[in-house]
Amino acid sequence: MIRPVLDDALRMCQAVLDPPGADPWDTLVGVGYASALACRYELSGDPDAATAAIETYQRGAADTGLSAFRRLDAAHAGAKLAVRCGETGPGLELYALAIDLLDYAAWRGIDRRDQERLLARYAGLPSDAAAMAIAAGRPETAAGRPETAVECLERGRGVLLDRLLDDSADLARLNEINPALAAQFRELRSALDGIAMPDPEASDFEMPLLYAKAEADELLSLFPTAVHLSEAAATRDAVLAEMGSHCWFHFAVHGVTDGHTPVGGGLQLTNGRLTIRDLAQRRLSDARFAYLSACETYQDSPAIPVGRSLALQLSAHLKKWPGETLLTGADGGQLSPWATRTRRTNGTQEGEGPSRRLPLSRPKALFRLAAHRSRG
Amino acid sequence: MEAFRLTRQSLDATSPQHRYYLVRLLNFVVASTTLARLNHDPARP
Repeated sequence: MIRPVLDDALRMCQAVLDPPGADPWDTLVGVGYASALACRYELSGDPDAATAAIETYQRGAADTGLSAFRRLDAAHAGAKLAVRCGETGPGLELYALAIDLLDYAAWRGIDRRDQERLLARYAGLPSDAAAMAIAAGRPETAAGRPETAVECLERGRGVLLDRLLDDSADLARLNEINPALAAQFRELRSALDGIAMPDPEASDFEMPLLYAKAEADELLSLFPTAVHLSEAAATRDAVLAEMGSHCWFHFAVHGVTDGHTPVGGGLQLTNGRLTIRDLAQRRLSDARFAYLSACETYQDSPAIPVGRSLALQLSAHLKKWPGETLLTGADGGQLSPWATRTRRTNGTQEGEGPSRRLPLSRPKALFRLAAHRSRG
Repeated sequence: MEAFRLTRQSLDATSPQHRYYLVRLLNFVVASTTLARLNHDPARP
């Protein structure tokens, strides 16, 4: 029953696609054909079916006559099949193409929430691509380098935020040319931001940070000239203002990730949330280092965690890759005495806290350290 | 099964020269693949 069903479909596709025509519908049928071949491979283990499916997916993904999201689907499906078959070369190429197409598929012309919805569908793509790049393990090629893996990861996850940073840059240029128009634009954007859909899963419920004051006191003993904002003084505007004139930041606050409006996530302050959007719209040109003693700052999710947002921000100014520019949520055990204590005490729950140790072999080059993640 | 049957019926009723042929072929291929997976999905023995 099964084989005849697929065989009929495959035979008819072959008749149409031999040779394939220039009509986009031919390519679409080709993608359907690839899907049927992949199915046959899954059911029968026929390696020829898998090879043919991957080649057909490659043709579909490369056809610029198709819309970006259909090409993205083809590239993603082909890459996943290549992984299952152990075809690392084509798999890496398809993953790289899929990540490139993410930016086109979630293009600026569509509503931001639609962009986010589309990107959420491919939430696992960057990490799968990175895993593939590492698993390929071919140091003689660019594709097999860990740097390629990190690049896949950050490019995929940073699409939305990167766009936001670009918008800010554009606005800065507009501000120089026509300040009135720039102000009007800001007003309009602010109004649109105001109707962002709230995340029902996000909660502003705050457990007390029992040891944040002790953490701050210890930091101030180490850096007596540092500006310290806490309690009523730690307002969103005050923090943003200070961030514009400082290069090192330390936050001991609650972190929030917003799954519905990713750029709405951020750090909880006295009078509201310092959002990723707020940070992205500022040009923190002097920023070099940030320590986020807060949960949800670097977790894996379709949303953009605030740690990654800051990493991208810093990289935009330092012209370096994000992973080399920011330390966030790291285990401070080797960083300084206060960080050791932070790890033990600042979490709101037992066991919550940074999970990796910081290889601080060059303390004067903090900004070059790879980003470390918290599991909070 | 019914969707598969209808897509096949629709395809059989369409000439390969007709402009809807590729659309209906694609429908049939998708229905065939879905049916094959449902009937014998190796992930769900």
